[in-house]
Amino acid sequence: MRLRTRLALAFALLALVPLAVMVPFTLTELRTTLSRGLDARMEGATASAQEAVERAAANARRAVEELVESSAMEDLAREARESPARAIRADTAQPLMKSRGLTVLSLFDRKGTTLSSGHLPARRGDPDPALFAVTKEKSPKPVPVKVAVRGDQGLREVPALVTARPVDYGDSRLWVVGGVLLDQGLAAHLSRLTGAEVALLSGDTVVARAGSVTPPTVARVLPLGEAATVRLVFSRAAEREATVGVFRSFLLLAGLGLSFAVLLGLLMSRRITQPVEALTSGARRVGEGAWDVQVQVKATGEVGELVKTFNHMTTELRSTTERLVATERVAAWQEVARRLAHEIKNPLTPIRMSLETLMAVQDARDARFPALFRESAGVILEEVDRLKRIVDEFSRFARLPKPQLEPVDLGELAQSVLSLYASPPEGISIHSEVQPGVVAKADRDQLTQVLVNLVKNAEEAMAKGGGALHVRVRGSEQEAVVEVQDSGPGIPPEHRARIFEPYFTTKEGGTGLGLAIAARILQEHGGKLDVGGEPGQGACFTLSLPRER
Amino acid sequence: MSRALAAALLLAALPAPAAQTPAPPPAATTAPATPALERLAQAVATDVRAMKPEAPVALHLSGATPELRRAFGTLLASRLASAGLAPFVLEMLEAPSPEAAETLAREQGARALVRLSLSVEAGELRARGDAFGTWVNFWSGRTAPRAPSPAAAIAQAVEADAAALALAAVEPPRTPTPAPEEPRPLRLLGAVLARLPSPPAALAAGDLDGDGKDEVAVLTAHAVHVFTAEGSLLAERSLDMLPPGPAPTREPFGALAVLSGPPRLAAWSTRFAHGEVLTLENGALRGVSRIEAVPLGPDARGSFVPGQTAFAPEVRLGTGEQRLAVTSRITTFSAANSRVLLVHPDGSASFFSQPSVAPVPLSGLGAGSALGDLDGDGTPELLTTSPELQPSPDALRVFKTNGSEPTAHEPLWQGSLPSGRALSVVTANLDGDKRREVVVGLTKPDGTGELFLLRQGAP
Amino acid sequence: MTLRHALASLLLLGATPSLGAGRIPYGGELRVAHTGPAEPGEPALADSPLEATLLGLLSRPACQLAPDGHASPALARELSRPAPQVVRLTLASPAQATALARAWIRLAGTEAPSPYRALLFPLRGEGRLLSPTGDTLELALGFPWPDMERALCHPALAPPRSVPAALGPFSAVGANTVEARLAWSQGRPYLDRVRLQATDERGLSRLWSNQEAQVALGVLADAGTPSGAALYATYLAWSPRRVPPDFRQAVESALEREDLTRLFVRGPAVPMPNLLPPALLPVSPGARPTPPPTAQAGRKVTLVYDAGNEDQRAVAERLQVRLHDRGYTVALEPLPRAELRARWARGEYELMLHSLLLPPVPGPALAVVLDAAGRKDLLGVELPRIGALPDAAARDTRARERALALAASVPLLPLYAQGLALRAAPEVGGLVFDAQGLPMLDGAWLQPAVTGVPGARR
Repeated sequence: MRLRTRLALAFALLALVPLAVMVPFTLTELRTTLSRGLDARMEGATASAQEAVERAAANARRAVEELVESSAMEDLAREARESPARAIRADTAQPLMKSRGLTVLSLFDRKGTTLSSGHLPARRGDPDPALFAVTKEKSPKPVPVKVAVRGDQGLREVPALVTARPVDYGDSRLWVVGGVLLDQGLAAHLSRLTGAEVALLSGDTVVARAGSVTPPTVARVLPLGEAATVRLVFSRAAEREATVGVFRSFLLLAGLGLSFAVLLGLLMSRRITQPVEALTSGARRVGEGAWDVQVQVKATGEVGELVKTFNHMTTELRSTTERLVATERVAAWQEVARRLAHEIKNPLTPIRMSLETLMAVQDARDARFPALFRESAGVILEEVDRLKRIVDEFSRFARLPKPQLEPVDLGELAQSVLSLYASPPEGISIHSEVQPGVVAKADRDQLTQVLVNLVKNAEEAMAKGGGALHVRVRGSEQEAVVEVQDSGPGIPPEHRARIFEPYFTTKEGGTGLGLAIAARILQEHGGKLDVGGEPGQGACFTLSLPRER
Repeated sequence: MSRALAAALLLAALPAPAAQTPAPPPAATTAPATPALERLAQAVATDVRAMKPEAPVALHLSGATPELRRAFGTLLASRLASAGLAPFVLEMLEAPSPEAAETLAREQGARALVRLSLSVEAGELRARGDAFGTWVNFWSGRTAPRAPSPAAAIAQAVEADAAALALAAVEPPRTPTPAPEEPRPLRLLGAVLARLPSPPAALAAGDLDGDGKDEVAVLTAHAVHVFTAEGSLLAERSLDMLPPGPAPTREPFGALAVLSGPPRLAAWSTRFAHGEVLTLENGALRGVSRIEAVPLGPDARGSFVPGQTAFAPEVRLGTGEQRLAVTSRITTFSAANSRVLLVHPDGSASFFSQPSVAPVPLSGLGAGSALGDLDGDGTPELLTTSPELQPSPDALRVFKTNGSEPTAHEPLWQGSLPSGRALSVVTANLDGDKRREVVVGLTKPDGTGELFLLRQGAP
Repeated sequence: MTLRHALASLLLLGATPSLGAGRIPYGGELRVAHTGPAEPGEPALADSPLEATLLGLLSRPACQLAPDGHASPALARELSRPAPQVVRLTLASPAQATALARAWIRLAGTEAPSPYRALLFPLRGEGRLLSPTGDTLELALGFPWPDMERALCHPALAPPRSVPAALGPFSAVGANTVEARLAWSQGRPYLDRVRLQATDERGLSRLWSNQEAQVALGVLADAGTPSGAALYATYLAWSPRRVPPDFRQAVESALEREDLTRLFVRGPAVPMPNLLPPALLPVSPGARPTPPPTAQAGRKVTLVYDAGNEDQRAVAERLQVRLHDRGYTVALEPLPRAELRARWARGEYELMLHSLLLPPVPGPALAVVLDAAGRKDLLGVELPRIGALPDAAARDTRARERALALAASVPLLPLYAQGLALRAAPEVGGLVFDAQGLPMLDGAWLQPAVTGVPGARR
């Protein structure tokens, strides 16, 4: 994890801690306050519902009493005395009921037969013992009973508050039983009044329901005699919503704080890490060889000192390196000069000896002189050729041209090189394993020269005992690799470090520049040439190039 | 209360088809086959027998004409004789009053006495009176108390027929009296002349077969019937082959006239598009030609108000040059001796003493109105029914037309008609004398029709 | 009273315009208030007595049954039997013959099913194969059926009033006004026009008491109110596969027809214990009370009824209450009459209230009832046995016997029969009911107005 991230996280954490401590505490406090308020509201609503029911009962009682006192009722009683069926019809009670704001009204004769029913006109002519039982009540207050009313899905038993009054005319008596249904209307009224969901229950069945509240809820039950109960369901949604709101705003706050902290942290860490990163990249570039890197960053304190020191270090490193390079160049040239001198010195001896021999012979006027002259001139010419070759090679080594890079399919290249060896010498078999599509950026001619050189080396290594030559081309993510393996005698470990030096050779007649040039070409390509393999098992040259992307 | 009454009236006011008989008689018939006198005699005899009188039984008849009395006495006596009651008839001359008859019967040894008064009223032949035992208590001797039994009241009536009416109308032979005399009071007796399967639409009378007596022709909605003076069906012809009319009426309505010249009958029912002229040949009616004008009378032409039971207010007389000028629609047309009567639907009428002079407006006339010389004095009388919509029963009134305004005077005669609506009246000379008889077409409540004959009766 | 006095008063009467020379006066406008719809539907659906009366003003069936039961031609000019099993209708025009045939084919077909199709059942092909030739329509009978002519007088067999060829004694001239048709084959009505006013029951009594209506149709029956024959019969039908087998027993025991008719049905109504109304099948006393079956709770049935029939609603609610005590939960579903008939034809009902205007002849009436019960299969068995009797009285007796015998086997319970009651002002004359129990407004007439006599009615 990067320092910058780590710093930002630290800042964020620092911002969150106080919030995390404060939120639960505040929420708990809030909840307590809200539920106390809800309880009070529910108490009030339940009380007002109770009052509303009582008021409805009182209204019903007053309406029934007014109806009994009304002249319409008196007329009805008078006419009913003469001809009950004509005076009181199935639809007589309904207008009386509606005009008085009642929802239950039955007119009974003395024996309890329904003469007309406003809430269930089809009851006419039948006894209705349940409702008629109200006439036996002593109390003038309405009592709760269950009343059958019609519905499109059949009769329903609905609780009602009813009261009974007699109407006498002469010796005939009518009973007026009226009241209000505890029905949808009342439920709706109570619901409006209390703001709660109101359900009127008769036993366990719900006869009316009004209002709706969003969950979660809490219920209160208001019993009305045995016939009915009123259940008030209050919503806790407001409370919950308040809590959630507060929680949300906390979250928002936290989010804001967090992002601010992160931003701040990033800014701060940037200030801190910018010189460090500059130093890091400087160091990397130094590692890559750019020794003249100077970190240009404003920094103070320890970091500033560090930058200054780094810059000093690179300056020092550069001058040191330059000196070292010069020294090495001198040493290299010394070595080269020594080798060159050695190489050149080698033919000089035979030349000198031949010339001395010739001079001696001539001095002696030996007859063998012409023959000897011929022989010695041959040796001298041979040695001069050798010298010329040495000088050519050297000048070629020194004059290696800059590679012309272009994408080269190494597999194809290897195949073309191997095709030169289509008929290898006796005892040597050539195998190639080529992974297709391995492309690298390279100078085709130079790379061909390297490969030819390597294959020729391998062939020469196996010239005596024979063996198998393996050429493999493979590519990895980063680099393209060509391996040339032989099963010759291999390279002894003590030679391995030196085989890429110029003028090191173990072969008869080799200039010692082949592998050095090959290594140099690969170096120019940004690749490298390695040697492996166990002595006695054969040598393996590995040619690596950065892969063309 | 009044509403219930109105409802009752409503139900009573059934128009033509309102009957209990499932199917009407197949064709026009005359009065029932058994003569009215025989039926009455049978009914009275049954009553008398039911009383179980002791024989012999004396019969005393009063009222009506002597001919009617004699005929009835004979028939009743024969009925009682066949029941073994040994009847005998007390002569009118011997016992001029019913009271006298009682004494006479005792004297003649009758054990029971039947006293009857005969009359023809409102189309019915009636016999009313009593029957009682004339037995004298032997032991009490002196007085002649009425025995407690047998005793009974008798009141029988049957529908009169033309034969009974003829008997009732026979005048006693009278000594000739000086000519300028106070006109004899008019008295009409009525009887059923014929029954019709459907209500009459129009009536006409004329001598179609040349026997010197008029025949009565009746137009119903779909047919023409011709009856003899005795009420028997002479001929009938269905009009159904005529094309249906564009504007028929709900009630049967039309015009029927006996044309002058060779006797022909012109008939047009509103059911059909045009009328037809018929002749009576060999007891059958035969169509001669079609007519395009409505035949109101022998020489009067008019036209229908489409769809209504009325004629348009334009009447052409004779060959068509003379027109009667009236302004409102006409429901009845009648002409006699150059006098013309037009009755309008609202009960008013226009009476022309001459076709050329201005009409006298009349009011209170019924649709069944006609002009006809009933008393043979050469001047036609005005006959009219009640102008009310629902008269019950309807009445016929006869007025003189000599004065300026006929209906302002008391009628010469008035009497009630049988049940039914009398919408057409015609006078006819059925017996060849100077006085014309009256034939009334009645629409019966059961949807059938009836011809009712009124003729002069004994004073 | 002397003769002179009598004459004077007669002349006085004669001076007033209320007299009409003995003939029924023409003209005038009759104001009729009624409780029916402003626009009666097609004949097979407008089958309450009131709707049929209103429809009959503008469109008549082929014939009309007079109060004595005699069939007289109405739309047709003539009804005849050229052969014993062929009824020939002669109409005024080929268009009318086509319209009539089309109306009957529609009735007998599947497009607008109606129980009145049973009236056409005796026809060969059950009335679906009619083709008029010119202005005559020949009906070939599948079996002897002497009552065919009388059955054809049923109002449901009139052509729909929307058809141009439909004819009645009146023609429509406005939304609420009909005018006398001069060319009506039975004669132009006496009235010039009839102004119809649709209202409800309260409106009816208000219009009547304000003397704004001269005839009030569909009034509640009082003593003395004229009313037509009670042939509008209401039945409770059920689908035997969808209700428990003891359902008939349950309803019979739960329902008191007398009470139902007296307490819940308006208008002139009589309880109907038999398949045919008491007007066609006299009620024999001594109907035994049915013992109630053991009540089982929780049985749920749906009763469909005519939303346009207030009496059916009251009866349906009564059934709901009474069957509740027998353990049935009865759901009520009001439906328009057309939808009700469609459900009947598809057999998609559990319980259904049927109100049918039965023809006043027992045989055809029984046919309609059996079809309404969903037992069309019985028609082919029962009708030929009734029609085989040549005597009309014997046929009627046979039909009554079969009605009694079949009562227990058809899924149909007769409830009550209704007639149409009306009030008419005193100035309205000639208003009578035909054999179908419908008032014949075309025969009504108005007394010419009596001037200056206010409050003449009471």
